[in-house]
Amino acid sequence: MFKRVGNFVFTSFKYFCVFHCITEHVGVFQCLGDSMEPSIQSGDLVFIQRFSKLFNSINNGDLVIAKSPLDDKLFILKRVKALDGQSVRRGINYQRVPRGSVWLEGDNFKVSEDSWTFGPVPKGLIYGRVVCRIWPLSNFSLKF
Amino acid sequence: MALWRRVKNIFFGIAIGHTVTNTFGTVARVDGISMQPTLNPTLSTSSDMVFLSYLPVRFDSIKRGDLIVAISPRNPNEIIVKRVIGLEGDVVKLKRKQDDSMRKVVPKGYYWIEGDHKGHSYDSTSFGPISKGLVIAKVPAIVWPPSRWQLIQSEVHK
Repeated sequence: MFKRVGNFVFTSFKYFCVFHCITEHVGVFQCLGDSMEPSIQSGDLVFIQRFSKLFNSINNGDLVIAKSPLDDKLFILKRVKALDGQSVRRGINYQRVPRGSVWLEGDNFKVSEDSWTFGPVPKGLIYGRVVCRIWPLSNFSLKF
Repeated sequence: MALWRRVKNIFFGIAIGHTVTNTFGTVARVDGISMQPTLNPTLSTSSDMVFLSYLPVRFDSIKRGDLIVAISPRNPNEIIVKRVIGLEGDVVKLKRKQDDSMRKVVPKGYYWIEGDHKGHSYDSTSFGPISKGLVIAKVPAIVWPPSRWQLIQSEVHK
């Protein structure tokens, strides 16, 4: 009896560990809020991968998930507008992105809380890159 | 069949080991002089190995004076070890020269970190406060070499 229970616990632990090793590199996130409209609506599910972060291949225009610089428990989904060394402009505001950081902006600039609020985001805070939208299925897309 | 079972066991072993080290902590080597005299007190001898504990970061229990490991905000491939000087809301005094000093409030969601080796450390005095999300681990102990085996005191100095 005890052996059966122990066996079951160990097997579930084994598969949990395998699951952990997979979710370390890919994941599914649900997006809330309307800061990324019209590319992504509130409630969409997106599939993300973390290899881009590993190989440091984040480019302009990519959608990324990052930890919010103001609250480390919160994730934000934004578009990369400028890499380090480049500069951004909105109206008369002019900003240069420092080394090791990226400039993130929401597509819906009226409501988006982005780099114009909290400044450039260090690359270390980027969690992963959005690959595709998987829900709703009718809106499946690879390009945003 | 026996070979297949062995491969499967190795595979599960790697997965379990990876998960455990990812949850609790690992051991890492410290390079550089920025944390003298706490870490690497003499350069000639081999560098210290420290234990990195991931749990305090997960439970958000970093206190003032703790040694932490963070991703450098200027270079995402670099990992730095520093001491937490100010938590969010604290007022930090920045000393530029003898008489010239500046006061700064650490914003919400940020830490102020500094190296113990004043003037030889690339820390918050040059790049400003760092976001909490960049902190990956706390350093509770030195594990290698055996002569320097000790717990690291959490100290707040002026």
